[in-house]
Amino acid sequence: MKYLAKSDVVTAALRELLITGEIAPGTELRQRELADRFDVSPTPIREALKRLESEGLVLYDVHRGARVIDTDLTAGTENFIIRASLEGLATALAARRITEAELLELGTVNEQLAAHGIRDAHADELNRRFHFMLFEIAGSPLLQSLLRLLWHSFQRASFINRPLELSVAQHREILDALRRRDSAAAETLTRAHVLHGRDDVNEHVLPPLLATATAVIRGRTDTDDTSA
Amino acid sequence: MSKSDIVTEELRALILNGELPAGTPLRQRDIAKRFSVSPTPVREAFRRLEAEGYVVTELHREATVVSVDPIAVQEDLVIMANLESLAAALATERATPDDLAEIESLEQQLLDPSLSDGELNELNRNFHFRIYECADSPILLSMLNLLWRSATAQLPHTVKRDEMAAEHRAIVEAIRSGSPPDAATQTRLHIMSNAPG
Repeated sequence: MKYLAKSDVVTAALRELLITGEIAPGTELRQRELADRFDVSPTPIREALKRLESEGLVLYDVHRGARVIDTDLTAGTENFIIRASLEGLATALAARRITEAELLELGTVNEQLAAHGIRDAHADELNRRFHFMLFEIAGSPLLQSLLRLLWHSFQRASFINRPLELSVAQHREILDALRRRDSAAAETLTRAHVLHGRDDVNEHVLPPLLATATAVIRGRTDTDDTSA
Repeated sequence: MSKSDIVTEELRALILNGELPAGTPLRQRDIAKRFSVSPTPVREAFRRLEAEGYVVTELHREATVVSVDPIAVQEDLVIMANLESLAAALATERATPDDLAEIESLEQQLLDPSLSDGELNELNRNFHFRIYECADSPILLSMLNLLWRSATAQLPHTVKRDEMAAEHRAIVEAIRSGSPPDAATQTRLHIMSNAPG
Protein backbone atom coordinates (compact mmCIF):
# COMPACT_ATOMS: atom_id res chain seq x y z
CA MET A 1 0.00 0.00 0.00
CA LYS A 2 1.41 3.32 -1.11
CA TYR A 3 0.98 6.19 1.29
CA LEU A 4 -0.20 9.53 0.07
CA ALA A 5 2.08 12.51 0.42
CA LYS A 6 1.02 14.90 3.17
CA SER A 7 0.45 17.60 0.61
CA ASP A 8 -2.00 15.32 -1.26
CA VAL A 9 -4.02 14.74 1.87
CA VAL A 10 -3.97 18.42 2.86
CA THR A 11 -4.95 19.46 -0.67
CA ALA A 12 -7.90 17.07 -0.72
CA ALA A 13 -9.08 18.05 2.76
CA LEU A 14 -8.71 21.76 2.09
CA ARG A 15 -10.43 21.49 -1.28
CA GLU A 16 -13.42 19.88 0.39
CA LEU A 17 -13.57 22.61 3.04
CA LEU A 18 -13.51 25.32 0.39
CA ILE A 19 -16.05 23.70 -1.86
CA THR A 20 -18.54 22.95 0.86
CA GLY A 21 -18.17 26.51 2.11
CA GLU A 22 -16.98 25.41 5.55
CA ILE A 23 -14.22 27.92 4.96
CA ALA A 24 -16.19 30.85 3.59
CA PRO A 25 -15.47 32.62 0.30
CA GLY A 26 -13.05 35.49 0.74
CA THR A 27 -11.52 34.07 3.93
CA GLU A 28 -7.82 34.72 4.42
CA LEU A 29 -5.84 31.49 4.49
CA ARG A 30 -2.94 31.74 6.94
CA GLN A 31 -0.30 29.08 6.56
CA ARG A 32 0.38 28.80 10.27
CA GLU A 33 -3.28 28.38 11.20
CA LEU A 34 -3.77 25.75 8.54
CA ALA A 35 -0.59 23.95 9.63
CA ASP A 36 -2.01 23.80 13.16
CA ARG A 37 -5.42 22.68 11.95
CA PHE A 38 -4.01 19.79 9.92
CA ASP A 39 -1.16 19.10 12.32
CA VAL A 40 1.52 19.36 9.66
CA SER A 41 4.51 21.59 8.89
CA PRO A 42 4.05 24.67 6.68
CA THR A 43 5.61 22.94 3.65
CA PRO A 44 2.65 20.72 2.65
CA ILE A 45 0.33 23.66 3.34
CA ARG A 46 2.28 25.85 0.93
CA GLU A 47 2.21 23.08 -1.63
CA ALA A 48 -1.55 22.58 -1.17
CA LEU A 49 -2.26 26.29 -1.52
CA LYS A 50 -0.21 26.42 -4.69
CA ARG A 51 -2.15 23.52 -6.17
CA LEU A 52 -5.51 24.94 -5.16
CA GLU A 53 -4.45 28.23 -6.72
CA SER A 54 -3.86 26.40 -9.99
CA GLU A 55 -7.34 24.87 -9.69
CA GLY A 56 -8.77 28.35 -9.28
CA LEU A 57 -9.99 27.96 -5.69
CA VAL A 58 -7.35 30.11 -4.02
CA LEU A 59 -6.22 33.59 -4.93
CA TYR A 60 -2.79 35.03 -4.16
CA ASP A 61 -2.28 38.67 -3.48
CA VAL A 62 1.16 40.12 -2.79
CA HIS A 63 -0.15 42.22 0.08
CA ARG A 64 -2.89 40.11 1.52
CA GLY A 65 -1.52 36.62 1.03
CA ALA A 66 -3.75 33.67 0.10
CA ARG A 67 -7.52 33.94 0.15
CA VAL A 68 -10.43 31.73 -0.81
CA ILE A 69 -11.87 33.00 -4.07
CA ASP A 70 -14.87 35.19 -3.61
CA THR A 71 -16.90 34.08 -6.57
CA ASP A 72 -19.84 31.77 -6.36
CA LEU A 73 -18.62 28.28 -7.06
CA THR A 74 -22.12 27.10 -7.72
CA ALA A 75 -22.74 29.44 -10.61
CA GLY A 76 -21.01 27.24 -13.18
CA THR A 77 -23.08 25.56 -15.80
CA GLU A 78 -21.28 22.29 -15.15
CA ASN A 79 -22.73 22.09 -11.67
CA PHE A 80 -26.18 21.79 -13.15
CA ILE A 81 -24.94 19.16 -15.56
CA ILE A 82 -23.41 17.20 -12.69
CA ARG A 83 -26.65 17.41 -10.74
CA ALA A 84 -28.74 16.48 -13.78
CA SER A 85 -26.51 13.53 -14.45
CA LEU A 86 -26.30 12.18 -10.89
CA GLU A 87 -29.87 12.90 -9.87
CA GLY A 88 -31.12 11.35 -13.10
CA LEU A 89 -29.11 8.25 -12.31
CA ALA A 90 -30.37 8.19 -8.71
CA THR A 91 -33.99 8.35 -9.84
CA ALA A 92 -33.42 5.66 -12.46
CA LEU A 93 -32.04 3.40 -9.73
CA ALA A 94 -34.84 4.34 -7.37
CA ALA A 95 -37.43 3.29 -9.96
CA ARG A 96 -36.13 -0.24 -9.67
CA ARG A 97 -36.05 -0.36 -5.89
CA ILE A 98 -38.81 1.82 -4.54
CA THR A 99 -41.44 0.15 -2.34
CA GLU A 100 -45.14 0.99 -2.15
CA ALA A 101 -44.61 2.54 1.28
CA GLU A 102 -41.82 4.74 -0.02
CA LEU A 103 -43.96 5.84 -2.95
CA LEU A 104 -46.68 6.92 -0.54
CA GLU A 105 -44.21 8.76 1.66
CA LEU A 106 -42.67 10.62 -1.26
CA GLY A 107 -46.14 11.53 -2.52
CA THR A 108 -47.07 12.84 0.92
CA VAL A 109 -44.02 15.10 1.07
CA ASN A 110 -44.83 16.48 -2.37
CA GLU A 111 -48.46 17.15 -1.38
CA GLN A 112 -47.23 18.96 1.73
CA LEU A 113 -45.12 21.07 -0.58
CA ALA A 114 -48.16 21.77 -2.75
CA ALA A 115 -50.33 22.67 0.25
CA HIS A 116 -47.65 24.95 1.68
CA GLY A 117 -48.21 27.27 -1.25
CA ILE A 118 -45.30 29.68 -0.94
CA ARG A 119 -41.65 29.40 -1.71
CA ASP A 120 -39.90 29.96 1.62
CA ALA A 121 -37.39 28.21 3.87
CA HIS A 122 -39.94 25.56 4.85
CA ALA A 123 -40.77 24.86 1.21
CA ASP A 124 -37.04 24.52 0.50
CA GLU A 125 -36.80 22.02 3.35
CA LEU A 126 -39.71 19.95 1.99
CA ASN A 127 -38.18 20.07 -1.47
CA ARG A 128 -34.88 18.96 -0.03
CA ARG A 129 -36.57 16.11 1.81
CA PHE A 130 -38.26 14.93 -1.39
CA HIS A 131 -34.95 14.82 -3.26
CA PHE A 132 -32.93 13.30 -0.43
CA MET A 133 -35.49 10.53 0.05
CA LEU A 134 -35.01 9.68 -3.60
CA PHE A 135 -31.22 9.63 -3.21
CA GLU A 136 -31.55 7.22 -0.33
CA ILE A 137 -34.01 4.94 -2.11
CA ALA A 138 -31.54 4.75 -5.02
CA GLY A 139 -29.46 2.55 -2.72
CA SER A 140 -26.00 3.59 -3.83
CA PRO A 141 -23.87 4.89 -0.95
CA LEU A 142 -21.40 6.49 -3.34
CA LEU A 143 -24.10 8.32 -5.27
CA GLN A 144 -25.70 9.45 -2.04
CA SER A 145 -22.48 10.88 -0.67
CA LEU A 146 -21.72 12.72 -3.91
CA LEU A 147 -25.18 14.24 -4.01
CA ARG A 148 -24.94 15.25 -0.38
CA LEU A 149 -21.67 17.05 -1.15
CA LEU A 150 -23.21 18.69 -4.18
CA TRP A 151 -26.35 19.91 -2.38
CA HIS A 152 -24.26 21.10 0.52
CA SER A 153 -22.16 23.22 -1.78
CA PHE A 154 -25.29 24.54 -3.48
CA GLN A 155 -26.79 25.67 -0.21
CA ARG A 156 -25.41 29.15 -0.44
CA ALA A 157 -27.06 29.70 -3.77
CA SER A 158 -30.76 29.58 -4.30
CA PHE A 159 -30.96 27.25 -7.23
CA ILE A 160 -34.70 26.82 -7.44
CA ASN A 161 -35.75 29.13 -10.19
CA ARG A 162 -39.35 28.21 -10.85
CA PRO A 163 -42.78 28.68 -9.31
CA LEU A 164 -43.66 26.24 -6.56
CA GLU A 165 -46.61 24.77 -8.50
CA LEU A 166 -44.27 23.90 -11.33
CA SER A 167 -41.87 22.09 -8.99
CA VAL A 168 -44.78 20.17 -7.50
CA ALA A 169 -46.11 19.26 -10.96
CA GLN A 170 -42.68 18.06 -12.09
CA HIS A 171 -42.33 16.00 -8.90
CA ARG A 172 -45.72 14.41 -9.65
CA GLU A 173 -44.54 13.40 -13.11
CA ILE A 174 -41.42 11.85 -11.60
CA LEU A 175 -43.60 10.03 -9.07
CA ASP A 176 -45.77 8.65 -11.89
CA ALA A 177 -42.69 7.30 -13.65
CA LEU A 178 -41.50 5.73 -10.39
CA ARG A 179 -44.91 4.13 -9.89
CA ARG A 180 -44.67 2.60 -13.37
CA ARG A 181 -41.09 1.45 -12.54
CA ASP A 182 -40.04 3.25 -15.69
CA SER A 183 -36.33 3.98 -15.09
CA ALA A 184 -35.79 5.70 -18.44
CA ALA A 185 -38.71 8.10 -18.00
CA ALA A 186 -37.79 8.76 -14.37
CA GLU A 187 -34.28 9.64 -15.43
CA THR A 188 -35.32 11.91 -18.31
CA LEU A 189 -37.89 13.75 -16.20
CA THR A 190 -35.41 14.27 -13.37
CA ARG A 191 -32.78 15.68 -15.69
CA ALA A 192 -35.34 18.05 -17.19
CA HIS A 193 -36.42 19.04 -13.66
CA VAL A 194 -32.85 19.89 -12.65
CA LEU A 195 -32.05 21.67 -15.90
CA HIS A 196 -35.33 23.59 -16.04
CA GLY A 197 -34.64 27.08 -17.33
CA ARG A 198 -31.00 26.32 -18.03
CA ASP A 199 -31.17 26.72 -21.76
CA ASP A 200 -27.40 27.20 -21.83
CA VAL A 201 -26.80 23.59 -20.88
CA ASN A 202 -28.31 21.54 -23.61
CA GLU A 203 -25.63 22.30 -26.17
CA HIS A 204 -22.92 19.83 -26.98
CA VAL A 205 -21.83 18.36 -23.67
CA LEU A 206 -25.09 16.99 -22.49
CA PRO A 207 -26.51 14.56 -25.06
CA PRO A 208 -23.56 12.17 -25.43
CA LEU A 209 -22.87 12.35 -21.75
CA LEU A 210 -26.28 11.58 -20.46
CA ALA A 211 -26.82 8.77 -22.86
CA THR A 212 -24.93 6.71 -20.32
CA ALA A 213 -26.94 6.07 -17.26
CA THR A 214 -30.21 4.74 -18.56
CA ALA A 215 -28.62 2.69 -21.29
CA VAL A 216 -26.36 0.89 -18.87
CA ILE A 217 -28.93 0.53 -16.16
CA ARG A 218 -31.50 -0.71 -18.64
CA GLY A 219 -29.05 -3.19 -20.11
CA ARG A 220 -28.59 -4.62 -16.67
CA THR A 221 -32.26 -4.40 -15.74
CA ASP A 222 -33.35 -6.68 -18.51
CA THR A 223 -31.16 -9.52 -17.37
CA ASP A 224 -31.27 -9.45 -13.61
CA ASP A 225 -34.03 -8.46 -11.34
CA THR A 226 -32.98 -7.18 -7.97
CA SER A 227 -35.89 -6.53 -5.74
CA ALA A 228 -33.93 -5.07 -2.88
CA MET B 1 -1.43 14.35 8.34
CA SER B 2 -4.21 14.36 10.90
CA LYS B 3 -5.02 11.36 13.07
CA SER B 4 -8.20 10.70 11.17
CA ASP B 5 -6.22 10.73 7.90
CA ILE B 6 -3.90 8.08 9.29
CA VAL B 7 -6.69 5.90 10.65
CA THR B 8 -8.58 6.22 7.33
CA GLU B 9 -5.51 5.28 5.30
CA GLU B 10 -4.62 2.33 7.50
CA LEU B 11 -8.15 0.92 7.63
CA ARG B 12 -8.54 1.33 3.87
CA ALA B 13 -5.26 -0.54 3.36
CA LEU B 14 -6.34 -3.35 5.71
CA ILE B 15 -9.64 -3.71 3.85
CA LEU B 16 -7.97 -3.67 0.45
CA ASN B 17 -5.34 -6.27 1.33
CA GLY B 18 -7.99 -8.57 2.76
CA GLU B 19 -6.88 -8.46 6.37
CA LEU B 20 -10.30 -7.08 7.21
CA PRO B 21 -12.57 -9.21 5.01
CA ALA B 22 -16.16 -8.37 4.09
CA GLY B 23 -18.54 -8.62 6.99
CA THR B 24 -15.92 -7.80 9.64
CA PRO B 25 -17.46 -5.59 12.29
CA LEU B 26 -15.30 -2.60 13.23
CA ARG B 27 -15.93 -1.28 16.71
CA GLN B 28 -14.99 2.28 17.41
CA ARG B 29 -13.42 1.41 20.76
CA ASP B 30 -11.31 -1.47 19.39
CA ILE B 31 -10.02 0.59 16.50
CA ALA B 32 -9.26 3.54 18.77
CA LYS B 33 -7.25 1.22 21.01
CA ARG B 34 -5.44 -0.38 18.08
CA PHE B 35 -4.27 2.99 16.78
CA SER B 36 -3.90 4.60 20.21
CA VAL B 37 -6.22 7.46 19.35
CA SER B 38 -9.41 8.92 20.80
CA PRO B 39 -12.82 7.91 19.37
CA THR B 40 -13.17 11.14 17.38
CA PRO B 41 -10.69 10.40 14.56
CA VAL B 42 -12.10 6.85 14.35
CA ARG B 43 -15.62 8.19 13.91
CA GLU B 44 -14.32 10.56 11.25
CA ALA B 45 -12.52 7.68 9.50
CA PHE B 46 -15.73 5.58 9.51
CA ARG B 47 -17.60 8.49 7.93
CA ARG B 48 -15.00 8.89 5.21
CA LEU B 49 -14.73 5.17 4.47
CA GLU B 50 -18.50 5.01 4.23
CA ALA B 51 -18.49 7.83 1.68
CA GLU B 52 -15.93 5.87 -0.32
CA GLY B 53 -18.05 2.73 -0.12
CA TYR B 54 -15.75 0.56 2.01
CA VAL B 55 -17.94 0.24 5.09
CA VAL B 56 -21.51 0.75 6.16
CA THR B 57 -22.32 2.21 9.54
CA GLU B 58 -25.54 1.39 11.31
CA LEU B 59 -24.63 3.22 14.47
CA HIS B 60 -21.90 5.75 14.94
CA ARG B 61 -19.93 3.33 17.06
CA GLU B 62 -19.79 0.44 14.68
CA ALA B 63 -19.04 -0.08 11.01
CA THR B 64 -19.07 -3.23 8.89
CA VAL B 65 -16.73 -3.93 6.01
CA VAL B 66 -18.87 -4.23 2.89
CA SER B 67 -18.60 -7.07 0.44
CA VAL B 68 -17.97 -6.28 -3.17
CA ASP B 69 -21.38 -6.34 -4.73
CA PRO B 70 -21.17 -6.66 -8.53
CA ILE B 71 -24.28 -4.52 -8.99
CA ALA B 72 -22.83 -1.76 -6.82
CA VAL B 73 -19.60 -1.95 -8.80
CA GLN B 74 -21.56 -1.55 -12.01
CA GLU B 75 -23.41 1.44 -10.60
CA ASP B 76 -20.21 3.05 -9.35
CA LEU B 77 -18.70 2.68 -12.81
CA VAL B 78 -21.71 4.42 -14.33
CA ILE B 79 -21.25 7.28 -11.88
CA MET B 80 -17.56 7.48 -12.77
CA ALA B 81 -18.31 7.25 -16.48
CA ASN B 82 -20.79 10.12 -16.21
CA LEU B 83 -18.57 12.48 -14.29
CA GLU B 84 -15.34 11.61 -16.05
CA SER B 85 -16.85 11.98 -19.50
CA LEU B 86 -18.23 15.36 -18.45
CA ALA B 87 -14.77 16.38 -17.21
CA ALA B 88 -13.20 15.19 -20.47
CA ALA B 89 -15.74 17.14 -22.52
CA LEU B 90 -15.12 20.33 -20.54
CA ALA B 91 -11.36 19.76 -20.72
CA THR B 92 -11.60 19.52 -24.49
CA GLU B 93 -13.13 22.99 -24.58
CA ARG B 94 -10.61 24.49 -22.20
CA ALA B 95 -7.26 22.72 -22.69
CA THR B 96 -4.39 24.89 -23.94
CA PRO B 97 -1.71 23.59 -26.33
CA ASP B 98 0.62 23.29 -23.31
CA ASP B 99 -1.96 21.17 -21.49
CA LEU B 100 -2.30 18.96 -24.51
CA ALA B 101 1.47 18.52 -24.76
CA GLU B 102 1.65 17.40 -21.12
CA ILE B 103 -1.27 15.02 -21.55
CA GLU B 104 0.41 13.45 -24.58
CA SER B 105 3.69 13.18 -22.72
CA LEU B 106 1.97 11.23 -19.93
CA GLU B 107 0.25 9.07 -22.52
CA GLN B 108 3.66 8.25 -24.03
CA GLN B 109 5.20 7.46 -20.64
CA LEU B 110 2.40 4.94 -20.05
CA LEU B 111 3.60 2.92 -23.04
CA ASP B 112 6.86 1.96 -21.31
CA PRO B 113 6.69 -1.86 -20.95
CA SER B 114 9.09 -1.84 -18.01
CA LEU B 115 6.57 -0.08 -15.76
CA SER B 116 5.48 -2.13 -12.76
CA ASP B 117 1.74 -2.45 -12.10
CA GLY B 118 2.06 0.08 -9.28
CA GLU B 119 3.89 2.58 -11.45
CA LEU B 120 1.36 2.07 -14.21
CA ASN B 121 -1.50 2.76 -11.80
CA GLU B 122 0.05 5.95 -10.54
CA LEU B 123 0.93 7.22 -13.98
CA ASN B 124 -2.55 6.32 -15.21
CA ARG B 125 -4.06 8.40 -12.43
CA ASN B 126 -1.79 11.32 -13.35
CA PHE B 127 -2.78 11.00 -16.99
CA HIS B 128 -6.51 11.10 -16.27
CA PHE B 129 -6.30 13.85 -13.69
CA ARG B 130 -4.09 15.97 -15.95
CA ILE B 131 -7.05 15.90 -18.36
CA TYR B 132 -9.69 16.53 -15.69
CA GLU B 133 -7.78 19.52 -14.26
CA CYS B 134 -8.25 21.23 -17.62
CA ALA B 135 -12.02 21.12 -17.04
CA ASP B 136 -11.42 23.96 -14.61
CA SER B 137 -14.19 22.90 -12.25
CA PRO B 138 -13.16 22.52 -8.59
CA ILE B 139 -16.36 20.72 -7.61
CA LEU B 140 -16.00 18.19 -10.38
CA LEU B 141 -12.35 17.61 -9.51
CA SER B 142 -13.21 17.15 -5.87
CA MET B 143 -15.85 14.53 -6.74
CA LEU B 144 -13.45 12.72 -9.04
CA ASN B 145 -10.89 12.59 -6.26
CA LEU B 146 -13.49 10.98 -4.03
CA LEU B 147 -14.45 8.50 -6.75
CA TRP B 148 -10.86 7.45 -7.41
CA ARG B 149 -10.47 6.57 -3.73
CA SER B 150 -13.61 4.44 -3.82
CA ALA B 151 -13.62 0.69 -3.35
CA THR B 152 -14.67 0.20 -6.97
CA ALA B 153 -11.75 2.26 -8.28
CA GLN B 154 -9.38 0.10 -6.20
CA LEU B 155 -10.65 -3.19 -7.58
CA PRO B 156 -7.84 -5.21 -9.11
CA HIS B 157 -8.90 -5.19 -12.74
CA THR B 158 -6.79 -7.15 -15.12
CA VAL B 159 -5.31 -4.38 -17.17
CA LYS B 160 -4.56 -5.34 -20.72
CA ARG B 161 -1.89 -2.81 -21.48
CA ASP B 162 -2.43 -2.72 -25.23
CA GLU B 163 -6.16 -2.13 -24.83
CA MET B 164 -5.50 0.57 -22.27
CA ALA B 165 -3.06 2.26 -24.64
CA ALA B 166 -5.52 2.17 -27.52
CA GLU B 167 -8.30 3.62 -25.36
CA HIS B 168 -6.02 6.38 -24.08
CA ARG B 169 -5.02 7.17 -27.66
CA ALA B 170 -8.68 7.54 -28.65
CA ILE B 171 -9.31 9.91 -25.73
CA VAL B 172 -6.28 12.07 -26.57
CA GLU B 173 -7.21 12.17 -30.26
CA ALA B 174 -10.72 13.32 -29.40
CA ILE B 175 -9.38 16.08 -27.17
CA ARG B 176 -6.86 17.11 -29.82
CA SER B 177 -9.56 17.26 -32.49
CA GLY B 178 -11.52 19.60 -30.24
CA SER B 179 -14.67 17.49 -30.09
CA PRO B 180 -16.22 17.45 -26.59
CA PRO B 181 -18.80 14.75 -27.46
CA ASP B 182 -16.08 12.47 -28.81
CA ALA B 183 -13.92 13.03 -25.75
CA ALA B 184 -16.93 12.20 -23.57
CA THR B 185 -17.75 9.06 -25.55
CA GLN B 186 -14.18 7.74 -25.58
CA THR B 187 -13.80 8.38 -21.86
CA ARG B 188 -17.06 6.58 -21.14
CA LEU B 189 -16.05 3.58 -23.24
CA HIS B 190 -12.68 3.45 -21.48
CA ILE B 191 -14.26 3.38 -18.03
CA MET B 192 -17.02 0.94 -18.90
CA SER B 193 -14.46 -1.47 -20.36
CA ASN B 194 -13.61 -2.18 -16.71
CA ALA B 195 -17.13 -3.35 -16.03
CA PRO B 196 -17.42 -6.91 -14.81
CA GLY B 197 -19.22 -9.38 -17.06
